[in-house]
Amino acid sequence: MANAPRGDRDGSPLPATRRPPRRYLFVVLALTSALGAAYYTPRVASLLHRRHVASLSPPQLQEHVRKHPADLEARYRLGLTYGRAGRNADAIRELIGVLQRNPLRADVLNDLGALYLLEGRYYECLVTLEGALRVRPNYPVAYANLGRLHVATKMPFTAVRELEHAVRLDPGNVETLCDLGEAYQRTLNYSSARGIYERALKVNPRAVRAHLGLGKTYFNLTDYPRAEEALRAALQLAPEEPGALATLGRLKLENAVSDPELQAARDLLRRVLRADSGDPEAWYDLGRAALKQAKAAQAVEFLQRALQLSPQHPGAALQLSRALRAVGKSREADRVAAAFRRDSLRSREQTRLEEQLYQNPRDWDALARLAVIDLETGQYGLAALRCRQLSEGAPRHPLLPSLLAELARGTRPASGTSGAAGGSSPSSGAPSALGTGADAPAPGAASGAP
Amino acid sequence: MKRRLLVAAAIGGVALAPGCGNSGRAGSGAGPAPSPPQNRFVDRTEASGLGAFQRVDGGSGRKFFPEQMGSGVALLDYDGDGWLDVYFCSGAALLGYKGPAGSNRLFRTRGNGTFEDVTTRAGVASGRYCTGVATGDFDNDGDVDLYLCVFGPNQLYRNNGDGTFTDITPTAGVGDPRLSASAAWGDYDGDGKLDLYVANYVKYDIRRDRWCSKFPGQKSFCGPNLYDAEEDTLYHNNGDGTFTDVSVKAGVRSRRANGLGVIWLDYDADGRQDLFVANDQTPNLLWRNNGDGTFRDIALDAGVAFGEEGNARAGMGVDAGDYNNDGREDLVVTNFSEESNALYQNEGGTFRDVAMATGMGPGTLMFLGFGTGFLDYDRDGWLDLFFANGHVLDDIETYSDSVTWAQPSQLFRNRGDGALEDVSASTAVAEGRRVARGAAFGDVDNDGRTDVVVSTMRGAPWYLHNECAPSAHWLGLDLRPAAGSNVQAIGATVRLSAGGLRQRRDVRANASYGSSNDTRPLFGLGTARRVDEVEIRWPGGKVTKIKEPLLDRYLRVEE
Repeated sequence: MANAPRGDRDGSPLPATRRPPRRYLFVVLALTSALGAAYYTPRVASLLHRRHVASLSPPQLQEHVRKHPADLEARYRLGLTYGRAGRNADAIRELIGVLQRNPLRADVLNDLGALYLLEGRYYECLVTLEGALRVRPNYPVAYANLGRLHVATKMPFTAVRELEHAVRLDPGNVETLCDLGEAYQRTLNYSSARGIYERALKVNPRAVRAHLGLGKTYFNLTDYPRAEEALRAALQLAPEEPGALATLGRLKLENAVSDPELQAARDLLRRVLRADSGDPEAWYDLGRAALKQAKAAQAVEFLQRALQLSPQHPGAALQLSRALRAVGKSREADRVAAAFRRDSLRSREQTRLEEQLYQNPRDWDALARLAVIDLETGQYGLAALRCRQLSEGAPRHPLLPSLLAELARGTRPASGTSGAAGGSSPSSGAPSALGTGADAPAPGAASGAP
Repeated sequence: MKRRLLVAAAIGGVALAPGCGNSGRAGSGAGPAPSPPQNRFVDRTEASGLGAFQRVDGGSGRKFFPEQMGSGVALLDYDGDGWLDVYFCSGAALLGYKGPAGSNRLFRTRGNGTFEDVTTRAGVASGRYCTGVATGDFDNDGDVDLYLCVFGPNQLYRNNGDGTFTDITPTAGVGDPRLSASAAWGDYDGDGKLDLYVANYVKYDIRRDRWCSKFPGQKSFCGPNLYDAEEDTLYHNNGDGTFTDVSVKAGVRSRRANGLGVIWLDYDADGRQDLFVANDQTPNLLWRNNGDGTFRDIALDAGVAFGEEGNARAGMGVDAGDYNNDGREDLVVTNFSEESNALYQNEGGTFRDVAMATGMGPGTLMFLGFGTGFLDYDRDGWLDLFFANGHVLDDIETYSDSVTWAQPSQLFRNRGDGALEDVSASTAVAEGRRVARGAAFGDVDNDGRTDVVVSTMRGAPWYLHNECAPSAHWLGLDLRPAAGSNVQAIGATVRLSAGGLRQRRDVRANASYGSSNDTRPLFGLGTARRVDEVEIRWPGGKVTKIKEPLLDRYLRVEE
């Protein structure tokens, strides 16, 4: 009787009347096993499948998807792979493919929103992220991306609210903390910005972006010694971090009173350009440094580069007109100055309309005119967002048809380059939340994407 | 009323120990001197009686646009007794206002450090919503007149010479109805009569006041961008008590901007008075006097239209002065918070903003400046800078943790080596936070030191009595031009050589923000014990030279 069921307390055999029939036991065991298998096997299988898909190289993944277009997991992975390679259009296509078959994937919606943000397709970004939040209401990464979107679309106060919510949901996410710091800076809340960067550094003392944000905050607070300290901390961790180099270079440039100090600023800016020769701000600052050194010919060269990269750069145009005058090219200087004045008037009108719209979001005329300016200045993402808002709020607005036509003509196909579609993308760079779904790679891995 | 000769007592003139840390830096090659060891300005608002003035903004919570503008203040010797009096602009009741009635006030100095309110007797209460005051003797009768920028048609009060004034706006034809904050008198055509430039702000009608809000249901002050920019006005003085609006003919209607501060200066040393207008979020204007009755805006080419980043900053107040003693007048412009104040160094017709390089720029970034002035507060021969600060948004602190509505004023000491050092704390200028607007500069007690009177948005003004550098030598000038020039010598340039420095002062009354200053050129001499030469270039072009004048007094000089 060794296998006989024991009593609860004394281990004595249970009375016969309480002993279940053995066949029932088998039935229960069989049912439990069946239920467990039914419940767990797909998950295990899915997990195994995901691991398999994740192990594939990009070409293998492409081949896999070609053979198995219905494999949503593979398509999602392929989309993320494209996104990290900067092939945003391809990434968007794959993620949309996933969503067509399974529209309730919050992680895919979030990542698609992040890709739209990178592409400057702000309206699609907004709709997609809102969709992600409908599916998963307390999804911190989607809130964070929404905040990033509103930083990009010049609504920093809204961005602060969303990023604060994201931080409440996920207090330890350094990237979100840094985004919030940036939004705080844009709303003149420097003390809060400082606090949030310090909090990020408590989470991860090696977070370069937090050191950089702290440095920028101190820079804005004109506490230059602390700014330099924070920027140097960033550079200690990442010696060629362009943002830290550029900010330190600007700090040195602003405070330089001697030629060696100006030269030191130039050296830092040169290092920025070694990392990214397409940084208009670095060329602009180099031009300013050269002007301060009375090297007008060099300034002309640098400032022209800045304007090639960023044709609407107001500071570069202004300084270029000065530099041209200094080298005796008065006619060219006049031409640049005239263009600058035109741009300046347009910029003023833009500011004014934005203020009007801020005060009255249903000022459809202001909205339409802003869309016109966006198109004129190549900010197609913002233009598209405003056109959609206009078509929803005032579908019979007289400017709408021409705006839509112009938008269709002007919108460039997604190029795969970050922020290429115009608009002011978040200065922190790409949204860092690409691929941060439940089983996606960690934020840090994704942040290095495009 | 004929002016009395000013020969002020040489206060402390016999003591030789230098004060305010200016020892050993009379020459430009000397290194920076240590900062003054103790506070040097004393708040005499209440003791002087000026605290009796209480400015009202006329607000009822509806936050009409003009409320945030505040107003200016003037230091003028209205009764010609040789002592500066004070005129304060005040707001007045706007729709819904239920507080005490606002009124401009004229305070006459008793010469003993106190003032008496003579507003009623003088007849200059106005009762209208005053934003700025420009003093100038437009009729060359020897007593200074008042032009008021008001919400509604501006007003011209002629000084009757007997302690009273008469509002002659209708006959004079200078009742510009636009919303203005500052005006300035200057003789642009060299005919010996002061003409008038009015800097206008925005097209504003209180019946069409716009709703601005940072929070749902709660009104905030609107910025100027929500209104159309306004045209400025230039009035030519006909010499018979009337003026002609020559704005179109002179070319100054070719620009529309949000004008707040204005100053006449001869920036290109061609002997003609040019104009600089500080504009709020529109490019500043530099009207070059073509010499034929017309002006051309060359601000962009001259480098003063925009900030370094190519943005039109929020210019508020302006002053001109030769801060680096290179013989050319530079410009200082106060700007919004997040924008540093500008210090445009004159490089011979073009300018370079050296605010950041001097150290002044970073120190002003978090403040919103209005009134400003160059003054040699420590009499070391180098012009320092004063800023009266205060934000325009009274709810700014509800959404910013770094910018406040009430702000400390600032004083930057010119070290003479290209650096401007923030001495606000050590000089007591930073004491207390105010929502400051206008600031006027002048030697109120004739002791050879420049005092400061600041107007605030609501309530009492602030009178800063300068008690710095009691032992440093000084020289002031009381200029009397020949017939044919304006009697105040507005537009004259004085150069003084002493202790290895060659300083420059230009005679003007109207600067800062809606304010007017003492017109007497005042020089600090530091440790120098003699002046080598004073050279006066009169408005008509003649030059007078005086060798080794006596020091520590106001020297009367006739053309």
